[in-house]
Parts: sequence; C-alpha cells; structure tokens
Amino acid sequence: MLVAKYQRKVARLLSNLLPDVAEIDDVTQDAFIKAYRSLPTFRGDSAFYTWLYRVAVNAGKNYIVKQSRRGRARSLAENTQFEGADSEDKLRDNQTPELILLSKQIGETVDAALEALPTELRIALTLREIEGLSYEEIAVVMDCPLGTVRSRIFRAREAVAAKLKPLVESPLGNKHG
Amino acid sequence: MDDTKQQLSALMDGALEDEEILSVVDALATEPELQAAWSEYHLIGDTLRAQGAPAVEVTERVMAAIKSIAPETSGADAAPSLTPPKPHKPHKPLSM
Repeated sequence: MLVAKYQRKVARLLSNLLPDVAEIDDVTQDAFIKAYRSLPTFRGDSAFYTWLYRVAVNAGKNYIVKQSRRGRARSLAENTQFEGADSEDKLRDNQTPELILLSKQIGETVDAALEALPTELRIALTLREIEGLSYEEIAVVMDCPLGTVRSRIFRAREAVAAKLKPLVESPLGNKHG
Repeated sequence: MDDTKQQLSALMDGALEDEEILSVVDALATEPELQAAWSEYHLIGDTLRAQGAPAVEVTERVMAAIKSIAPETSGADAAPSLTPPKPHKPHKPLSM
C-alpha cells in the first residue's frame, strides 16, 4: 500500500513546511486523498514519489494559506515525538558533555533557522537534504526552473549557515569543522 | 564570492556542470571562506538528516476516506486503490 510506504516521507516533508506540527497527521492524510483524486493526472513522465511530493507540497501550501487567513500563530515542534531522536542519541555516543551541548545547540539553531526561512527556500532545502531529491526532481516538485532550485538551495544554506557561524567559530565549535 | 559559493553549493549536490567543477575545486583549495562554507553546508545537511521523521500512521484514516469518496470517483462497485497508473503510451496504428 502506497500510503504505508510513503506516509513517513510525506509527513517529514510536511513537518518542515507546516507552521503547526499538531496538524501534520491531518495534512498528510489530506495529501494522500488529494493524490488519490489526482491519480488520473499522473502521466508517468516523472517518478511517482516526485509527483506525490508535489501533491504534498501543494497540500501543505494550501494549509498554510488557510491558516494565515485564520490568523493562527505559528508554533514550534517542541512537543512532537520524532523517531530520529534515537539516532541523534547515537551520534552523541563517546562525546564529551561540551560536545553534546554543542550538538544540541546546533540542532536547535538549524531548526530555528529553517523555521525562519521563506517557504520556498525551506521546501527546496528539505527536498534536497532530507529527501535526497536531485535538482531535476525538485524542479518538478516545485514547478520551477533548475536555476531557481540551485539558487533557492544556496540561499537557504547561506541563511542557515549565517545563524550557525557564531557556534562553529567558537573554539569548541571548530572541532566540528 | 556569492557566485562561487552558489557553485560550491551545487557541487556538494552533484549538480555542477563539468566545466565549472575544476575552477570551484581550485578556489576551494585556497579560499578559507569557501572552506568554511563547505563545512557549514555539510553540517546543516548532517543535522537535518539526523532529525528523523515524525511518527505518523494515517493508513487506516486514508483508506476510510478513500472508501467514502470511491463511489463518486470510481463507481459504486470499484475497489478503492492508491496505485500509480501506468504511464500513458501513444496509440500505435494497427498494422494490416
């Protein structure tokens, strides 16, 4: 079943797109229903997951527009249970308390910087770094030229890197360079 | 410098044209600012990938919703399905 296969990927993509993580389940469900309704428009000239991501991104954008019209405040993902927490803990094995603290600060800084990015930059960086899509696939998902994909990913990285600089340029942070 | 850093970003993603690669690699070997950007870009990617995915389970909800809309889209007797259709192929003329 395609829902079981792709739901976590779609939810992960949406979690980096949506202002309110409490709604991820609902918007993920909505994305799959939209995909079901739109199946006749899938022409097979792109990979199915690329097409599905495009449907999911549009569902997420529609949700954001609706929420902004309702004037709801953005909320951070502090209370969401992420299954990646274990892998983060593993990364911390054999590290000093200072490095564990730095790793935590880097994670929080990247999260906050990603949250602050314009939506299009956040989507582009997420599709590249987390989903591993090629520039060509991202261009299909975001319905934009390749050059725009390249520019958006670069601008997103620069914006996040600017927030990281104070951390990685510290004497302790240089150990991560 | 921003142009070179954008090329560096694309190089990291394997999306740089062949003719651009050598000049960027040369610049990377000598420019501390580019070396810092290279490290920061990789740190961002590593950090994002370490976060994992939300624990979401919507299969049953999606199936229930699809069942409720299936009669209006697929006919009352059609079994609901979420399987990608095969790509459209052009009709070949019949050979006589």
